[in-house]
Amino acid sequence: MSGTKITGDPDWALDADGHLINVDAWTQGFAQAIADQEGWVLNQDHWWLIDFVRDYFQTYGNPPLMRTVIGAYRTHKDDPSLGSASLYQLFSEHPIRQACRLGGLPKPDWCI
Amino acid sequence: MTIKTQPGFNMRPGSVVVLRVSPSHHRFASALECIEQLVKKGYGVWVFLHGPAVGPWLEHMPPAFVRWAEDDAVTVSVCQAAWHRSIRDASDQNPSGQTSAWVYPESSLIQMWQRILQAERVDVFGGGLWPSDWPEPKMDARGAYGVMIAYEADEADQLSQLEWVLAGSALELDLVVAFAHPELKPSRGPNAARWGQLLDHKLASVISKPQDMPTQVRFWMVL
Repeated sequence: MSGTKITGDPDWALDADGHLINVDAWTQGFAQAIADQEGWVLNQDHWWLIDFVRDYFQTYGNPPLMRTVIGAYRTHKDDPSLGSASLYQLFSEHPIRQACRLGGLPKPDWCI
Repeated sequence: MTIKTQPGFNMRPGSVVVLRVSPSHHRFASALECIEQLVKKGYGVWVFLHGPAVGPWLEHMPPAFVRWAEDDAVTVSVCQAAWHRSIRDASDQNPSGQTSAWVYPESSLIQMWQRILQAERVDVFGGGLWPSDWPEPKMDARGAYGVMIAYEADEADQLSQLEWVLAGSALELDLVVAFAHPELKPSRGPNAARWGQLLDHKLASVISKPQDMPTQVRFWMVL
């Protein structure tokens, strides 16, 4: 996927892992374009997750742990029963990594 | 050369040795000696190379590593994130250089923690020693897992220490992180913000004074 672009903006070049190379070029339109390409329909919860991961990354320099996202998602939904399964309902594979990709963040270079 | 994918844990009591220093550090030889002694005592030893232990020197395996590659009692594994960063950094410095001939299996920090949780014995050889002004630790199976940061690390090493903690936190372990001295705690630059997530999101307890040391800790890992 290296060198490929997402239709919509000349700055939306992707790296080999499908992540936006120029993080400053991110807009919601980029996330929507990726989602359209993948056939995903983004709802408010998807956007909450993308925004949360982006905010966390900008504050701490790395994506949040799953446990952190789950805790925040419970608060967001006011539902203490929610667990990781609810995030996998948003993205069936690697929800945080997918949120990084749609959020214009680099692929995490760690294994956590 | 025979490459093992599974350690001899099924037949031997399990031991984990984490190596966080390069061969030029005086504790490297101590770690090799420790591994040899554990094998003599009948342990299966899973050796994990992390942080400063991961670098270009791995391309030229020490004789002990070559010997262990043929020994069912010892498995050497390298932190995959650190190794890939090392390859990336080497590539940046020498884009036309040879690709890596690395032959040891890679493992994640999550896998390291899982090994630690199962092991009968854990030895960590990092750049620090238990600080003399802190009370001698007492082990208690009811307590948290302790991580003692006991030396002044550079920025990359600080990040590797944080990732060690975050991996344990990802497994929802009860963790206490101790800085042997308050000035060892990253206080400026991007690493200060990174370490801040531990407290902001209750991922671990953080202390920097001996009097705050918890009475119940399963064991301390001194980095």
